[in-house]
Amino acid sequence: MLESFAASRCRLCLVLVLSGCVLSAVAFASRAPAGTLDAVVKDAEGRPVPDAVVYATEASRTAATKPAGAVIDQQDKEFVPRVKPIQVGTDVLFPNKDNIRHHVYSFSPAKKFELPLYKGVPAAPVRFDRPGVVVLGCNIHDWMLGYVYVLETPYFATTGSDGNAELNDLPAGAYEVRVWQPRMRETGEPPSQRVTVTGSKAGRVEFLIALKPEFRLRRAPIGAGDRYR
Amino acid sequence: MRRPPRVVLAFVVAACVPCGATAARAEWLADAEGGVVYEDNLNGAAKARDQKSDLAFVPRLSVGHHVQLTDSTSLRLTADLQGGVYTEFDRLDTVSSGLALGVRRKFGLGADAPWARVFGSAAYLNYNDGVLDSSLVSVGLELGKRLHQRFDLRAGYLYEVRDANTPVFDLTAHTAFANVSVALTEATELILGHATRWGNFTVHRRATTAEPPRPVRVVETFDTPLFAFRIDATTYQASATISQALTRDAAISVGYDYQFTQGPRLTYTNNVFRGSFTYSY
Repeated sequence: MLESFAASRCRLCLVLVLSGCVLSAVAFASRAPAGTLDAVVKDAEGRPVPDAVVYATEASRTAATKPAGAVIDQQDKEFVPRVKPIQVGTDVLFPNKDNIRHHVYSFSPAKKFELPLYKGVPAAPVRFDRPGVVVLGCNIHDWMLGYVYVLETPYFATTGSDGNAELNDLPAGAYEVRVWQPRMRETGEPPSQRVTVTGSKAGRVEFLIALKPEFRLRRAPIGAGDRYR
Repeated sequence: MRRPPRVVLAFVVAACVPCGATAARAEWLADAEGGVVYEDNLNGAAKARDQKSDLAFVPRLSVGHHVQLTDSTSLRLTADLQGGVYTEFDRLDTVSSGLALGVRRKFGLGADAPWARVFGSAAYLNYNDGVLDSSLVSVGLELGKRLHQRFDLRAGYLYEVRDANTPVFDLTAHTAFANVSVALTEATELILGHATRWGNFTVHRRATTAEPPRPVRVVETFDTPLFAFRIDATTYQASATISQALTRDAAISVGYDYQFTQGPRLTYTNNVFRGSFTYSY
């Protein structure tokens, strides 16, 4: 009896060890080498373009990652960041870091919402569940303008003032890399490039885009006493 | 300047008025402006020989609060201090201090929603030449609508009453105005405007001629003695201003006003050239 108990314990240990090995192998396989893609966006004159969203969509599969939450602040009567790419299904919080009240809204078909006059952090985030461009405004400070770019893919980055962006953790595979910027002159499909990620360094893409003027209500005064009319 | 310390004190007190009750929800406003104005007929004279032109430095300070009362209604209360320093006719040098109140309502959500504003102001104008000292009270209504991302339209009506130490400068007038702002670039705006002002005007003519209708007074504001007298007339003004944003809080503007005034058996024009730098906190 004791012998049979010892034998079954031995088999159990063997099963556990083997299971552990298999799980480790699967986990290792799913963390196939991830690459970093460097991107640079310039305008027609070769100047760096900030606030451009560079995103990569994988040709063979759809990403099933659960999006993390995102935050868009209101600071000094501006949206920070001014351009925020997110994945479909992301919950975005709009904390008001000013000591005055804001009234955030959007009329965009991809997400219509309104956060009436508030200070501090709103009780609930806003979920963006459709892809597309969502233009943000403040009903008190009409010059405030922000953009949420809702994407199907989790692989995206925003260019800095130097026009550079870095897309990290791209699993091996073939990607279509595209760019979007609020002031981009649209001529049909967004410009795209094909990239294949095989190792840790996926390479570099460069986009040249044409920009158009952005005519938002001006914040600077025209005369004393003009700002809030 | 006869009593600048009292004027400045009144301004400081006025600036503090909005602080108490509304501080919790109010947003501070502070605008500072330095400007120059040149007028080629600043005394409103019909004959060229009587017309006086001068260049003035016009600083202005406006401090107060913007209070968002509801989602769509806001209140703006400011204390305003304005000066005028003339290069030639220093008797026109002035310090004006007062309060301005405006309530604005937006009819809808967003930057394109139409809005209406009722406003009023009261100020005391303290001149170097005491005969011009006066109080000025005005009320008005303004309507606005952003027609397109590059065009903004505003129109309104203003009623003014000026009560002076000297009856000839007591004036009551109505003004209807409209202007359109056109965004030429992201930072440059062109503002074209028209205004019609009707009511009382103080005009001047040489004191050696026959005495004009009453009320009349001989003034030496412009160095040479002139009759100042009051008439009923109408002024039509066309204006153009170009404003260039320097930063998100500062801008420079240059502008021109053409004024044509028509009264009983009298017409005159005035050309006004303006330039200013404005900073908004």
